[in-house]
Amino acid sequence: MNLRGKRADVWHLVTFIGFAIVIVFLIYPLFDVFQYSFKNKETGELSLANWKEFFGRAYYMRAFGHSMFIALATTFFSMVLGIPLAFFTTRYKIKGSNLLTTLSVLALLSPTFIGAYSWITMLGRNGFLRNLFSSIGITLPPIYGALGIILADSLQYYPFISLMLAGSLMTIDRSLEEASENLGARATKTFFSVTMPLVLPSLTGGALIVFMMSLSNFGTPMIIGGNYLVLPTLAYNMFTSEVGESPGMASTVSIILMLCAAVVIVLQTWASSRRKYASMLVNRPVVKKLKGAKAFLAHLVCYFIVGLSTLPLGVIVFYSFRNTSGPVFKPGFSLGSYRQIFFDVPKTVANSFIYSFVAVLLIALVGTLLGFVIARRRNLAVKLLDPLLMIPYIVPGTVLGIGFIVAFNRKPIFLTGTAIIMILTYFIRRLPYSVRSAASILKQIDPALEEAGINLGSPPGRTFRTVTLPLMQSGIISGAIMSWVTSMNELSASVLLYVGRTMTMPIKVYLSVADGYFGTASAMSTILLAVTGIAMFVVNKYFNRGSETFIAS
Amino acid sequence: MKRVLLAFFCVVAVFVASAASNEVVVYTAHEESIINALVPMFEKETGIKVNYVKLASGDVIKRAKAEANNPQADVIWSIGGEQLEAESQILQAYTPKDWDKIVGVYKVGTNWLPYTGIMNVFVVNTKMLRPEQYPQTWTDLQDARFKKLISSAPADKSGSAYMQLANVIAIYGEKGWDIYKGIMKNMVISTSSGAVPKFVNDGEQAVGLTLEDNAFRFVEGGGPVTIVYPKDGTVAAPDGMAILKGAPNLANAKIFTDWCLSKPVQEYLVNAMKRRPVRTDVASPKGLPAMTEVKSIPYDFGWAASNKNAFVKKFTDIKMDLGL
Repeated sequence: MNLRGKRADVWHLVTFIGFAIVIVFLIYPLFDVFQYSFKNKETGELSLANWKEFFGRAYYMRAFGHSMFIALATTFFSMVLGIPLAFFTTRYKIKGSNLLTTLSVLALLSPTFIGAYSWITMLGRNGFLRNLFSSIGITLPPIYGALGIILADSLQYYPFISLMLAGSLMTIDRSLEEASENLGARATKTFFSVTMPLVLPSLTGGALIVFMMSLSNFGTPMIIGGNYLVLPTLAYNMFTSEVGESPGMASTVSIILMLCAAVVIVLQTWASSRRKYASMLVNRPVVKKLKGAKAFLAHLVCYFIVGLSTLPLGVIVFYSFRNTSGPVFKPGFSLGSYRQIFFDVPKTVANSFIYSFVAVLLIALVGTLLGFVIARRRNLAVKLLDPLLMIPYIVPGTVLGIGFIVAFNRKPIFLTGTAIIMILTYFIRRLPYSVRSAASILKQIDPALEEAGINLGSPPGRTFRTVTLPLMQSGIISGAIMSWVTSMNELSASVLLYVGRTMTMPIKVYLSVADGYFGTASAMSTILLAVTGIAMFVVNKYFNRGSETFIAS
Repeated sequence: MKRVLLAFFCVVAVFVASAASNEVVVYTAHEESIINALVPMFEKETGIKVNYVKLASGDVIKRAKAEANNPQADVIWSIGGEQLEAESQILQAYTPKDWDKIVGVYKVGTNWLPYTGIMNVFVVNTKMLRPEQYPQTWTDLQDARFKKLISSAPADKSGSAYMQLANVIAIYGEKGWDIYKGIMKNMVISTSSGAVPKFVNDGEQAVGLTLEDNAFRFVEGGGPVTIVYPKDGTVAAPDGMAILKGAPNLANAKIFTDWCLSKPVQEYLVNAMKRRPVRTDVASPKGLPAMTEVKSIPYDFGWAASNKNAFVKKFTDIKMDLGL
């Protein structure tokens, strides 16, 4: 082991690049936004007035409580949905599990604004599902408020858990479970006392993403919250309000959101590092075939979960084909909504694809390297870099967007209005996914495999290429898909940074929803869903050749 | 693989570099449907490419201000006049070609120009309320029977919602604050004023506070909604457009401005978009009452702009007290 640290190896360079990225694209732009939090609005002097106000006003404290409640409840229900789905689809033969995974990822994709609006269409005061249920005598609780937000968020974000969990369920050492079974433990006992602890890092990793997404999501509470206050909506409204001009308070709210998120990240890191299990990846679990009632039940659970989360997508596709007269839906079907957006479609679709694709290439490259450094090289610099790289998780997109406008529209960097700034936004916002998923996969791979390579005289860079990288492949691909899916879906920062020629699909959807044109919004969303679905199918097919390791397949 | 990546990055680089030169960059709060109709028209007629950014009106100003030291945009198109008035230091005065044809009451100055006439109205769901239950005045909206049934955008974010607030204060003075607070108690805050009539149309709320043309498109579309003009008065004011100081494409900005105020475009806005014209030689939309049938009250832009900070602060305080 004396080879390590002997000379400056490639990983020092990677660490350095990591710091450079953090400083230029996170700290520099965010400093501009956050300084307001500690300034007196009138005099510009240093002051803690904003903080006093936050903790002194019931208004903010209530929003704070609501936010935590929503994020925790969403995480809980996402686990309730995600764990059985991941377990059943990886361990048992479920017919159409490819389709199930694709559909659940598509649910992730539907922009939150229109997803929430779909729920209103179904369960709002005059929603068709509500009317259907009330015609058979069942009164559903009102959807506006906490209930609706949790419902919409859980059904959108649970794939984060099922995807990450499925990946690690497929890589754990089967002999451990077999040992438990041979010793006479029941299947449930084996699941809870052997399997679950083994996949805990991935489970908590997925839960962390859900928590973050739900904590910083302002789209859903804005549409479906019905005056139920949460912090991201407050921050968004304060940052973008025209005359309120309270960047101080908006910054303060954002910093508090970030602190909450930071606490949770620390907890997750602690939970997943308490116990370490690594696998040689030689004895992987097999897919069992279920029979009779058990098979039926497993299918029922999987199809019910995915079906429920696909419901809003179905509504979107359905409405995109309905007849419209201006903004009003009419009986019958037509392609009118598609015709109205047609002049913008090719450019918008191309932009979305090019930006997210370039961003994902960068993310996969940089994220994998950084993930390796974080999982394997715990020196002081890396320990410092690790939490810094998690900043994008916890910075609300709006805040980053505003920071980018200010920071990159002056010397020495002018980027506003370019495609580069859009790509950079995607890159920086989604980088942590890739870093995390690479790091969490590495935690499951026994370092002995790499050490063997090094002991045989291979330099660190080559060991990484020839030993580690092939072992990480499934993790990299699943991380890249998650980054890509969420980049295609990115709205909150890019909506502040786009110009006409850099219009993307989610922005177009958002603009139509904001105007009340659900028909054109649905049409654009349907195109977004279709092109993504096709792209994912192609990726599935290409990477699926004989490899059961590809998570999203 | 490396070669593919390299080729790919080259394509992207070319794509990024090929920004059109003969263009005009426009920030607008216009509805998407209007943009989709007008932008291709302008591009076809003039050969100038329109690069538009559609944002909430507050975001338009915010972005233009954030970029003031290196302006990215040439024109602000269709946002509330008082917002432009309040930020006239980032605007450049311009006297359009047809200045003499513009309706006199709409002329405030040349820092920003009137673009279309807009008006505050109530949009009402005809299935949820019978005609005798319709609110007729701003004061009616305080009634407890409208609890959680009024859709409105927030006045600290939306230009038209601010105009509604200013409308109530302009009629009732200090007492107007109690009235508006009463209305707020019944409100469900919507994301944007454009979405307000949609919620009313869908039966999610019974009454919406919005602009006349927004509401009228739902009436024309055959939705279960109708328009009520507040009997205690509605402000009739132009929304405006302006050229930004330091506009990178100044000549094109002027062409675009003149085009927007030209007779054919104003006629188009009247016929297709149901906006009221700012030109003396264009008639109001069919199906809408004449201005003389509506109790309109004058809108003092100076007053609305100079009080804006104070009003919004007061609004925010009430909003917080009510926990909205």
